[in-house]
Formats: sequence, structure tokens, C-alpha cells
Amino acid sequence: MTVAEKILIAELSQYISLNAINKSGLWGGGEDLSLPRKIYLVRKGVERTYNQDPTDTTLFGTSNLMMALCGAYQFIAQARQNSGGAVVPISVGSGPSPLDFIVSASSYAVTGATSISIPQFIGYEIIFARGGTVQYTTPQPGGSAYYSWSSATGILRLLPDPGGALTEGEAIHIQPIGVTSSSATPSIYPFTITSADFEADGVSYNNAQIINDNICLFINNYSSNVLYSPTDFVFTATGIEIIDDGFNANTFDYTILIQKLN
Amino acid sequence: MPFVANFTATQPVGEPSVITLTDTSTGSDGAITQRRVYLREADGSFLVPSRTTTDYIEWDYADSTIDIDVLDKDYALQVVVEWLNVGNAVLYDKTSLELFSSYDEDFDYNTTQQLTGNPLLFNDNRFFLEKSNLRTFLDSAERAILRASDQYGAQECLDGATALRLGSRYFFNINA
Repeated sequence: MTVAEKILIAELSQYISLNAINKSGLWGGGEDLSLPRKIYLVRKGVERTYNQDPTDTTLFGTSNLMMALCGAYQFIAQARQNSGGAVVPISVGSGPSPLDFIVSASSYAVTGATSISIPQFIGYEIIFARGGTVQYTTPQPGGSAYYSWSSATGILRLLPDPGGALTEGEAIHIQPIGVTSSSATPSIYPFTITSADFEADGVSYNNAQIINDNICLFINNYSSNVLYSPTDFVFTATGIEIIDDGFNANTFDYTILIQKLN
Repeated sequence: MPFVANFTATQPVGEPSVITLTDTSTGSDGAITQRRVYLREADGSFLVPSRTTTDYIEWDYADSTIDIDVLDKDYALQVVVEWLNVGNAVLYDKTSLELFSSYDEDFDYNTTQQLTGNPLLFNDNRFFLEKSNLRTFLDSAERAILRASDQYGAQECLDGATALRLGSRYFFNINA
């Protein structure tokens, strides 16, 4: 990622973290209440120095500090940047119709469900709203609900499990976005997995779609650092193996965000 | 084409004591033979380099830019450039309120570099508070000029930032 890209991500992370803390009630759901301000303070200096001299060698360290402050919010920022923000787009042209239902014992997905199978949305990304609120694909402060979606399998997983399960009477809207074609493959990134997706050894995750992609991992409730290959995980013939000391999906219910790097 | 007076004022990178003026005037007037620069402080006094006996600084008309090494701290200055004829009569002039804040902006970035070397400094209540105050002073000085043309208010904000910089060993536990 270039310094200019990092500056933009920091600008977005500033208000994303501010809104997240604001929505998390008293004490910001455990988040540092001054985080948005800290991101702003560092970004202003980095941006000024970059505008003066983009080749300044100190920018390597200071821009990395800026990204470290952004933490997991940088992934939301990147997703917002790519999707144009948290606005449900109008679906034009051919493609499946949106899925709308009120959760009940007989709805498309029933009360208490923690995953929804939508085979007709395979190949599409989605916008998922529940109760009129667009949902995030990354863990939220305060344990609020979020989700993961696989455009390859058509499985929408409601997270955290079981806290994110569907409740009776809840309004659900699932909008497919993007159009598949024989030449264009919709990006699967970013997406989340949980400990349940790992193999019996607790460190291997099999997914042929990610093999040798330029990706990074962020494991919630494990480390505040982003994990990179090959120091923290390695690619196998079928997916990845996390080699970071101490990680074992069999010992804790982790949520892992997998994001593609530029 | 008639002469339209204009100029820009900047600070070169790494030289916070220097003001660089660039003549961006358009058109021509054969009667112009010289330029003069006035740097007026918020209290009305004129800022000139040492050993300059006049209130103004001569700017050779043959030079499209001039570097004036005159700043000992950050200033909000009223910059007046005059274009004169051979008889020292002012033919054209242009006035602009300018903010020169490189001393304190460079110091602010220095504190960011300190954080890069020791991120735990952000958990130091004093460090975070004073860095936040420093940024507030600098942003406010900029807003005072841009939104209200308030030279005096901007200078007060810059002086607040300067106090933090000069007292950095007490406010930030680092030396400026």
C-alpha cells in the first residue's frame, strides 16, 4: 500500500471508528475513546510531510504507525472505499432479485438460524441489512452482530455464533451486487471465517480460492497485529496454515478477517 | 495586456525561518523597475531581516522569486508587495494574509516520529493531551486566517503552539 493510500484509509478510519464508538454506548464498547482523535493527529502530520516530499524516508515508519492506529477499522475503510460506502445500491440489469423477509418459523431463514443458504446469489457479493441497518463483515465493538458471506458457496453466516442468530419478527434484506461474467470473477475479499472453519489440527484452513493470494489475516481476540505470510502463516496445497505461536482454533472461538492486499 | 499584480508566499521544506515569495503577475508595464515587500506583524510592526534599516525589503525586479530569511518563530503576517517605478512611486500593490507555521508543524511531525519509535507514548496522558493541543492551535490558526482573516487571533494560536514547542521537555518529555 502506498503512503497516499494509507492516508486515505486513515481519513476513512477516523470517522468509521468515531461512529463505531458512538454507537457502542458508554465507554465505547471497550474501544479507546480517543482513538479517532489519535488517528487524526498522526494523519495530519503524515499528510503534510507527504505533500511536501513524497520520498521522505521517515514516512515509512510514521505511515505504518498511522495504519497500526487504524487497526481493524482499516479493513472496513478499504471495503467502504471499494463499495462506495454503506449505501444499498440500485440493482440494474439482469440478476437475481433481492431477498426480503420477516423472520418466522416458516420464513426463508427461520428463527434461530445462524446461517442462510442462498444458492441463487452464488457469484455475487451482497449487501445485508437486518432491522433496516446495513451490517458489517467485520467484528464490531460491543459484540454487535456482523456476518460473513461466501460468493463461492452462497452461504451467509450470521456472527457471532450464536449471538448473531435470527430473531423472530426481524426484517431481513439481502441485496446481490455486482454481475458475474465469463471474464470477470467477483472478488471474495474481504471475508471472515471462524474457528469452526479450521481443520482438526486447529491451524489449517482449506480454501482453494485463496492459495498464494497476497492476503493478510486479522484474528479477533487473539492479537492486535495483522498476520502476514510467510512469517505468521504459510500456504499449503489446499489453503493456509497459521504458524504463529500460540494460535489454535481448537482452544478458542476466533473470528478471522481475511483481506487481500494490493 | 494590462499588468495584474499577484504573488504567492510559501516556506521551503526544511527551512522554517525562510519565506519564499514568487511573482505570479500577468501582463506587463514598462514603467515598473523595482519591488518592495512589507511583512507586517499582528501588532502592526514590520518584520525585516537583521541589518535592514527600512520597514521594507527590496526585491530585485530581475528576480521572479525571493527568499527572505526572517522568521524566528511561526507568524501570521500581512504580506504587502509593491511594484514601483524609477521614481519610487507605487504603481501596483497586492496584500495577502499568510500563515507561516513550519516551525511548529515540523515539531508536530517530530512528535509523531517519537511515537513511531515508542508507540506507548500515546498512553502517556500528558503526551497525548499536549499533542492534541498543539494540533488544535495549528488548525485554529489556519481557520482564523481562512475563515475570518483574523491575523491577531491566528498569531495568538501560533504563539500557543510555539510555547508548547519551546517547552517540549516539560510538555512532551522530548527536546524540540
